[in-house]
Amino acid sequence: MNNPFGNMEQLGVRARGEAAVVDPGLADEVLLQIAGAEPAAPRWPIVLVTAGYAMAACVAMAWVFSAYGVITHPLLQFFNTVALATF
Amino acid sequence: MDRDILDSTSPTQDTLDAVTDIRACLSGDQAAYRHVVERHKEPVWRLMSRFSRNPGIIGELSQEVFVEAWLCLGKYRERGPFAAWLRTVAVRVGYRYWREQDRRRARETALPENAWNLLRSPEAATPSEAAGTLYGLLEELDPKDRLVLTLAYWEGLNTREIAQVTGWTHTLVRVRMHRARKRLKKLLGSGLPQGGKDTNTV
Repeated sequence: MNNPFGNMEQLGVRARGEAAVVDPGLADEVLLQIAGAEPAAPRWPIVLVTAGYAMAACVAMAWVFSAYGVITHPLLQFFNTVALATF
Repeated sequence: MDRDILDSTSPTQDTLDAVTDIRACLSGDQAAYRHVVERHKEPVWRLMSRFSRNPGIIGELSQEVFVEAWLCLGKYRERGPFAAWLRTVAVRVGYRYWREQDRRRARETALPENAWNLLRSPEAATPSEAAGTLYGLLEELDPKDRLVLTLAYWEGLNTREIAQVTGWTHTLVRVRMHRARKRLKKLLGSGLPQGGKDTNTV
């Protein structure tokens, strides 16, 4: 066979012409299956809330560590100030 | 799948209608989803027929696509055509089906008797024969190779479009395409397979 890939491509082009005999009851079946199920809500509020909690936890930890002198770093001092201003 | 809809970058009337229906669906209107299914059932059915030759299974896979699309409608961002988003869901469902089949080592179809002749002279094949031969040949490959070659040869997608549909990186698709073509060449060089795997009919 000279060009098997070329022949495969040609087969593909011909295969695309195959008629699709769609089951007429497809929509009914789908609606039956999704009855009572709600589409999932967008996830961005969950992501925002989670990120908010994570930030608050970081700030709290930084405040505790710097307040008790466990870690002394200028950046933590900044977090300390932010935390004091926030809470 | 309908390339005209999928390739369009500007919002068509069809896309706008779909978006209106999808917003209705998200607010709990299940009847609006019937319009979505009716609008997209033919291209989805056509795409799922690349993943199975059994009409019953094609029907089940198409249902699964629409149910899965319903359940994750909230992830549709309205940045592109709904049909393109639906196609990624459909490819995911089809690929999952193939992986399950592969685990069970179940082969769905036997190659047509005249497959070798059809491969030599594809212009002589009817669409159905061409589809059967293509399906039978690609079924010999593992699901990853099979997916890239099916999307390339049967759907006529280029590597960038395959990357979009599968969610794989473009580099990964190119590597897989290269490997898959090498395996296919080896397969064709050794003559047509007559049942390398079990020939269980599903």
